[in-house]
Amino acid sequence: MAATTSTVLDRAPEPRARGFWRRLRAGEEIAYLIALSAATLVLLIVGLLVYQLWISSTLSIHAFGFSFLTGSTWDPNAGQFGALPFIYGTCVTSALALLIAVPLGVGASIFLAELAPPNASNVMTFLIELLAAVPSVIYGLLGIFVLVPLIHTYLAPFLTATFGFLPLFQGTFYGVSFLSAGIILSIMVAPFIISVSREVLYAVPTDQREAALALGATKWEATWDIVIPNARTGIMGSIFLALARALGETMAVTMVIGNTPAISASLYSPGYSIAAVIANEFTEATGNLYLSSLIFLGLVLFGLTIVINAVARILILVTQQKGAA
Amino acid sequence: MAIQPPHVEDTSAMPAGGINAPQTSVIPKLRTRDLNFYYGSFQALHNIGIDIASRKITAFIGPSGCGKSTFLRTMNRMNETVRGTRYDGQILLDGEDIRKMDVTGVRRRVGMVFQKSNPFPKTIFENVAYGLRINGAKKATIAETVQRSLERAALWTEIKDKLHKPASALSGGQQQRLCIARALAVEPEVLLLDEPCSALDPVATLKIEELLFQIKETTTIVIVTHNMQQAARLADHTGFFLMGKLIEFNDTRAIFQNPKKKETEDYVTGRFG
Ligand SMILES: Nc1ncnc2c1ncn2[C@@H]1O[C@H](COP(=O)(O)OP(=O)(O)OP(=O)(O)O)[C@@H](O)[C@H]1O
Ligand SMILES: [Mg+2]
Repeated sequence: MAATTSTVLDRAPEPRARGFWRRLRAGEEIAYLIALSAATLVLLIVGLLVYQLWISSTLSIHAFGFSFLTGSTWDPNAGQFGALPFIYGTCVTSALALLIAVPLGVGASIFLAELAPPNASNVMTFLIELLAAVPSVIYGLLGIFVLVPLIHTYLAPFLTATFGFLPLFQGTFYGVSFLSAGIILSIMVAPFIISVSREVLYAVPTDQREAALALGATKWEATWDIVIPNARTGIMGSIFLALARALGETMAVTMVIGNTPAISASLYSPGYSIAAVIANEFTEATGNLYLSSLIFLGLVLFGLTIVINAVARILILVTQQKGAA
Repeated sequence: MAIQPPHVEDTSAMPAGGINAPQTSVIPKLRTRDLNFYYGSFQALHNIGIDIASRKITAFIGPSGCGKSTFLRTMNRMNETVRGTRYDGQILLDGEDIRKMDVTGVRRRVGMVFQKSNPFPKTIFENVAYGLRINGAKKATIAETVQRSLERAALWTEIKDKLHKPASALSGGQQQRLCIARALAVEPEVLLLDEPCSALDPVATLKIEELLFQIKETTTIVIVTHNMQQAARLADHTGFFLMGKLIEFNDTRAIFQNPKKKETEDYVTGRFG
């Protein structure tokens, strides 16, 4: 756009319309229009999506209003619909997933970008990116047949023994649970963090590393103090991507979370997530209120994603200003 | 400031590596012997032997691609971070082989300012303080040292009210002086500067030259420059590189007024190429 203005300024003043056609022929205006319409289209699609969700859920919105968000009973037979257990399940599993995947993913990307020899790094990254292409139903199966037994025999006893005083790790581990869903999710989202963060770290100019090394920094100090802050925005971006994936992940979660609309402090308990309940119950939703409530859940998930992203962004902004980056 | 005790070796006043060494050379701070440097199979430096005098300004000139940056970057072992490079021969700092020293120690003693200014994405203050922090300076002394370094880099008066603003808000020339302040803060014994003024206007350039004159009292300065006048103005000794070879090394005046080699004469009189 700046280029457009300068073109206008460069030339002698001419009638507006003629200037437009000349620029159109020059291609600038066309590129501008194409970019503009692409951007508008995206907004339009999002707008339509929200509109459609809203329209289809009006019945439920009118029936429950805000109490839909705070209600914890989900009883289709009684016509009672409360979203809290699903919101809780979605938030808990996503938080757990990030808690595991962020340190793992960022750590791995630092290793791949800064420490590993380039060839090894490329091979490993290729394999890790393959993980992102595995269908989520496969992850669900992996969860049921491999992960859950492993958690059952090794991880859960360890957690109970070590952190048993926390409500998080009390009770009996049955297999399907928040914990299993969170761990599966973390495995699914880590590749995003790794491959995007690695690229971001690669993009940090060499002269930043050299500036730190030239002051007598060790390799690790240069990476930690200088390279990572340089890459911070991009790494955060990769985490958002992972979060979005975790919030919306349906298949794998539904296979290991237990599909029980309950709120429990213990990660060992079965639960439910928004995406999972929509997928499971959509086909059997009898009655308009039921259907409308499920769509309302979709709207809530959409809102939740936006709110969480906004909060995260504000957090970053605040910490950035504190650090005055 | 780490001023070296007069550490005189018998050979210290002798010309280096068969090349015309400056006659005035007293105590060499840095010396190289038979230095060959390779990027993979490409040899970028051939048999460099040189004595760089302590607390003097030594300039290196030469056409683009002749190996000036490469030479500078071997002296603080920065080239070791580039994959596929190797060198043989010796580089001695106060008579000690830098290859046998701890690499972070070498780089702390031999500071470097890069051609393109590269401030960290931190505040002005933190940019200068960083080197102090990683080298374990006492907290109480940091603010003072930061101020002193910024004063020495002739930047203090311009930015003293903006210390906690991001360094990216400074002008190009200010950023380069910030990088110099950052390098000075850890009080290196040697300061390597790779075309530090190439992106600067004449006023900013002059400021940096004045600054180099001042810090020369305590610091050995090695500067690469494309600006012949700058070398003539600043340097006590000047070396001329061509195709990875140190063609001639002598007192600056001798290099510019009375070069011994044809290639040097062609280059300094602008008849090169
Ligand atoms: N990373 C590298 N890998 C391979 N070859 C390199 C590398 N860096 C420099 N070279 C080669 O080494 C030679 C010397 O390069 P150097 O950067 O030292 O030149 P210079 O004298 O500093 O040039 P300029 O004045 O343009 O900065 C050049 O031929 C260059 O192509
Ligand atoms: Mg160079």
